[in-house]
Amino acid sequence: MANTIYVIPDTECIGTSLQHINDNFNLLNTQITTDTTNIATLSGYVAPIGTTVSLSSNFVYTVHCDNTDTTGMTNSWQDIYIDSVPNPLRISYNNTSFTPYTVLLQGKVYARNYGMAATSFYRLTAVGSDGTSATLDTAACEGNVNYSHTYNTVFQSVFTIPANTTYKFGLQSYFPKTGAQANGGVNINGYQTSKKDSWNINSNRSTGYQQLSADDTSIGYPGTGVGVYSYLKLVVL
Amino acid sequence: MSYVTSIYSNQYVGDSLSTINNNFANLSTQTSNVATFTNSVSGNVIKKGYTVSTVSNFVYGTTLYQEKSNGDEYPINYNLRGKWSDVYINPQKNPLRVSFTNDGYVCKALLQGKVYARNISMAATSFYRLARFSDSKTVTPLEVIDTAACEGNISYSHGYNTVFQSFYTLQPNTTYYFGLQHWWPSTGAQDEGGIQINGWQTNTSDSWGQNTGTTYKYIYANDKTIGYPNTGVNIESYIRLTII
Repeated sequence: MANTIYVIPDTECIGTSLQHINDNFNLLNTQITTDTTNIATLSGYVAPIGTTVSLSSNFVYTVHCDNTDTTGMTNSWQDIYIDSVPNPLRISYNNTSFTPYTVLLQGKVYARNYGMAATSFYRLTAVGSDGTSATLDTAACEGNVNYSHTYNTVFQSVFTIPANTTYKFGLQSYFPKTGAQANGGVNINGYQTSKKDSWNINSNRSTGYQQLSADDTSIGYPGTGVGVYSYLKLVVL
Repeated sequence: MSYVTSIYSNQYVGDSLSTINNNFANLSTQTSNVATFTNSVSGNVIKKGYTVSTVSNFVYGTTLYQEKSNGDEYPINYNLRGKWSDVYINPQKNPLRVSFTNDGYVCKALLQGKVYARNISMAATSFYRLARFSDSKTVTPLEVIDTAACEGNISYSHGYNTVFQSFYTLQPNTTYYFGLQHWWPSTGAQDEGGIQINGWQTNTSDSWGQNTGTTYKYIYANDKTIGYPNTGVNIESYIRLTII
């Protein structure tokens, strides 16, 4: 770049020099315009780095199955719930920039299988404002009819959100009706702290899931002082 | 800070031209510096978010023992046991690997991987690792980056969604190969058990005995008891590299 600037001889006629001065101004103007455009583009890429959106849940609930009641085993994908409404464990990010942003996604589902042989499934999903959707990560958690077992299942992905697009990300579960079961099911965010089974404490199974109450001291977070969370987190890279 | 020298109103034209030349030279140097910087940063920023990944929903595994018609048990598929082997993505045994050539400036990558493995009636522990390799085929790694151990039980089956992750610095003008491998034991109590990759049990029947292989067991798509295609639920192993 530097060598494109014309060096004006001090013996040059002033009229000729003015033209050379103008040429040099034009060269500099072109370069500065290019630099300005590039810097603006770079700023668009780097501005939101580190922006984080997250949502966690310690809502303790269970789906249950036995030989006569498989209400919660829907054979379909449903959201991980964060409360009794139930609201879904989802986060969204609106990319208002003129450049696409790459985001890192991290999630976790704590699930406890008990007395159920079938495998339950979990996934991390993305749904865009333009209607596109994708499954970004999946997991399978096998149960056993004779015992209980817990899974701290981790999800991870990277995803590029196009310019001027909003994406929603969520965690979902899939509980199959198949498989041997013996008064079993799946606890989300709950774990057994004694031999007591809270499922039988509450009888309302019509919704397909059963919230375990805060004063239920046999399963779940509030009665033990130990927090187990499911969560979903987005960080702009 | 100023990169130019003012020209006085009573300055001779010849001297002024010299000052003008110096000012142009200084401004040109600065704009050139800005251009060099933005070009170098752009090289990485434009790559930022670039992702290369390999995904496998190829369902396969190994038996450790199989029962003969007379009730005796004998070991099979030895050549995948007691050593590190690539996680496969297809029956041709292509490895689960990604490659990336950094033809720009030094940059950082995020490595993410997952292996879904189901231990079946086998007491021994199997091992998995994320590693860097010299090329797309060599099994012995240049560097082991992340590891995991998945213990089995002779009395029941259990699946592991094993996650691997790491940051990695990519030097200029270098091609990198990263992959996932497993180490399946040849020791430990076992009862017609084994390991399945990307497969799981969907009911109480066990398809394990329906077909055999000499190096690994390929669980077919029409196998209704185990695997992805018949459940509508896709479980995958993967490795991914993202420039950050």
